[in-house]
Amino acid sequence: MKKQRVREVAVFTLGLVLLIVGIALWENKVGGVLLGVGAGLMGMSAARLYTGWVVAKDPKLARQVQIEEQDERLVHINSFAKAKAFDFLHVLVPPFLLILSLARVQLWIVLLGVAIYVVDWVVYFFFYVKRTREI
Amino acid sequence: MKNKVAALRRERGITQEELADALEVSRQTISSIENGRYNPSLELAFRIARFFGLTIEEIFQEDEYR
Repeated sequence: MKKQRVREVAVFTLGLVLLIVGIALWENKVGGVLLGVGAGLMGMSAARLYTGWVVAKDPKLARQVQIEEQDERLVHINSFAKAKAFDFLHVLVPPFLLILSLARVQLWIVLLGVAIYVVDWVVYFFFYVKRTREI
Repeated sequence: MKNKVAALRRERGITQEELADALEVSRQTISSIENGRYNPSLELAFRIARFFGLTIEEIFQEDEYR
């Protein structure tokens, strides 16, 4: 729990730094991007820190949260939904890449899309083999 | 898979919340098991059996082959 809080504070600080740098470079093209990323990181970590603080104050709620995180049915539902989303994404991506190439988009953009698609499959096979060896 | 979880729970006069709390699962999980919508893992089946002081076979029965 403490480790998680330290990580969230680190993310919040990083977000703050990016936000300040983004404001300083406001005239520059990168400034807006840094500001957006910084604000996003700050918001995300602040929300997690607040949730952690609320849960830590209420032992009953903390137990409930822990049960819901570990509940095997909910874990199964979450894994099932992720698997379906993976399948759905892999149906959508190839036609999308084809449309991009037919639309004569710059080659590097199409290749980047193909690379992401391939990396996703590599990650899938990595965990498939890893899990097969484990169980 | 059929089971007697709902009947055993009622027999002992405990609520789904109390059973869920004792087994450290959500109330919805207990409800799904009772309705036969979800088959628990072997580990959870053992915990349920231990809670009621019975064996797994006494609580869970395989559906007859069609």
